[in-house]
Amino acid sequence: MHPQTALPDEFLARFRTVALERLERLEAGWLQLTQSGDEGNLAANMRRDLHTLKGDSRVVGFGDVNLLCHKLEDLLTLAQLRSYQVPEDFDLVVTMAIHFIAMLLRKRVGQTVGGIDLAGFVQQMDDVLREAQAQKPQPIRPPSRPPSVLASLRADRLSRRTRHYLAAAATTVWLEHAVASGRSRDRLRDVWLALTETLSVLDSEPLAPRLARHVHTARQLARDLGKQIDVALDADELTVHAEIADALDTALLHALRNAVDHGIEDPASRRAAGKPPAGQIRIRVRAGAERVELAIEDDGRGVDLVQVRRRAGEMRLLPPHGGELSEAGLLEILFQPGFSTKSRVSEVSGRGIGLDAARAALAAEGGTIELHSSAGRGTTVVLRAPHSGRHLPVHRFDATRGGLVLAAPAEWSVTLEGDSAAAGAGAGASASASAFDPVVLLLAPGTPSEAGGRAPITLRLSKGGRVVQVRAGGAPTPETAERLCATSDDHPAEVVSIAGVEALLLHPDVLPRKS
Amino acid sequence: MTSLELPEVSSPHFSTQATYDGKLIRVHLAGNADLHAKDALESLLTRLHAEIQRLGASEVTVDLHDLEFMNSSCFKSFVSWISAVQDLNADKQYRIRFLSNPAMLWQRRSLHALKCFAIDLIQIEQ
Repeated sequence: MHPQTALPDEFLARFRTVALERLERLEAGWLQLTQSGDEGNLAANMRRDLHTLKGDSRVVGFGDVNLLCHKLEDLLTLAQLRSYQVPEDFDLVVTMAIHFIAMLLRKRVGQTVGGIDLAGFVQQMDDVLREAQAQKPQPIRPPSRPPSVLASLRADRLSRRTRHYLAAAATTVWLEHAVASGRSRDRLRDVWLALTETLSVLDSEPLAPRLARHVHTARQLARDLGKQIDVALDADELTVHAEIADALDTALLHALRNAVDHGIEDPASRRAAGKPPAGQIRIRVRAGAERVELAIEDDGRGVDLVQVRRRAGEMRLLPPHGGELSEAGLLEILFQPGFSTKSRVSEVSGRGIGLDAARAALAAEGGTIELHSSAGRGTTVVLRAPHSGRHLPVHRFDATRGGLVLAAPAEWSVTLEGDSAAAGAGAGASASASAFDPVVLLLAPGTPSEAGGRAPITLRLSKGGRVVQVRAGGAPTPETAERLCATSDDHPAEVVSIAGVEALLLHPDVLPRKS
Repeated sequence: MTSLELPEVSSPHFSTQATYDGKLIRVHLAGNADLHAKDALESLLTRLHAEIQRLGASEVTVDLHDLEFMNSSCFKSFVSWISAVQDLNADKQYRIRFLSNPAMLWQRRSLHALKCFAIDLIQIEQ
């Protein structure tokens, strides 16, 4: 532990300020949990706050704070298992622990901490934890307020088709709101927000139940294979987009199956290698700002690169002129469809549809998979995926009216049509007769388009021989859009957010082609 | 004898009564110290702290024998009070004696935990 005096005063002051802010959030969060239960990511956020405070306190040498944070983590973990229906003294000790930590932090500045009985307080925490563990969980009290409709919807996974219908309705409401004025505009916006919130909930799913299921399956598989494993789950509690959950689910399935089947040795082999008989598998889940990361680590034999090279040769996957593949290159072969180091197919593996399936599932949602291996020491598979899976590159351009922002997927190339290139640069030009105004088209099909305050230009969108002309109020710029409520591919548009501004993303595939 | 100037709280669910015999200050709490009692309790303890200093008392007894429940918000008021006593110069600090009721399970653990905040200043008795 670092001596506290070795750290600059301003560093300590900063730590103290941030730590007290964390404690404030923890106290408010605890109150909410005990009164209303866990909603959203409250418990997960609290755990992060507490865990960070614990780590920070260790770094700056506040061993007493570190110890109390650790004990508090134990209490919060148990409280979560009891759905925060805890005895009164448990509640009081948690609250007092937060204040005890705050007191230790405040008293650190040039004051003695005499009179504070840290050991006694820790003893009280241990006692209340032990007693609570020994007690049967109390019957769940009815919540103090009725559960929201959205919360109940989480349990039901609607079909993609139903969600697309809802998204199409939401898109129509958004368009109506965009061209409305006064109170109607506000009311329509409220409806739009309510619909998108519902869609957001319907589109999200907690990862925890899936992780627990995989851990159970891995243990069962190990038993079937005559192996012993200990699986440790170190996971942030988080909710991800349903499709992302599916992709991670698929990848995790294959990664764990490989770890148990290929990585972990049988007990005798492990003993011979100087390892404990039970293989260790650790699943670590972390939520970053934009991505979720799952790492599956095992302490098994690692990838047998000699065997990979041999099989790759048999399957003609090596470089044609006998060039040597690097270790990374050999590991990459494991992702080849149909590749397996096993010559015989078993119930568990050997068909070679593991890692490639995992990679494909993740890639479909903008995710990645990495594999690291050390001979005799184990393998780590790292899965990364965006939280939402909803970001996509687009061409952003202004509509001809209403101050609306439009977009087209970047996979479509976009050029300014004819003279309108000059219009894009500021000169006036008339729009191509065959171009359509998306706003007019989507609101009132068949209505002749009208230019707004600005001279329209024509954009030519093309992809694979298909060409669509669109009237626009300005030249396109490349941006990244966040999909707010994805409609189906056969719907002409959906609402996205570009740099915090709502925009209408066109689906050119279903827009009228150039005549 | 200088009198104790401490308002009494009297509500259907929570009440306080304070006495001073010229030497000892005794505060009796009864009922349920829940969210509704929080403001009254906080105000009482702030005023009590000031009165103890004004009277120069070296000890105060807080009788919790009839206090059936105290929620965490009210307990925080006690923590704040104890912190305020700790922040006084040593010669101004006073001792706090809690009279507990072993039949009230919530008191057993939480009062002992509270004592750990200032083991020199707090005493728990039955």
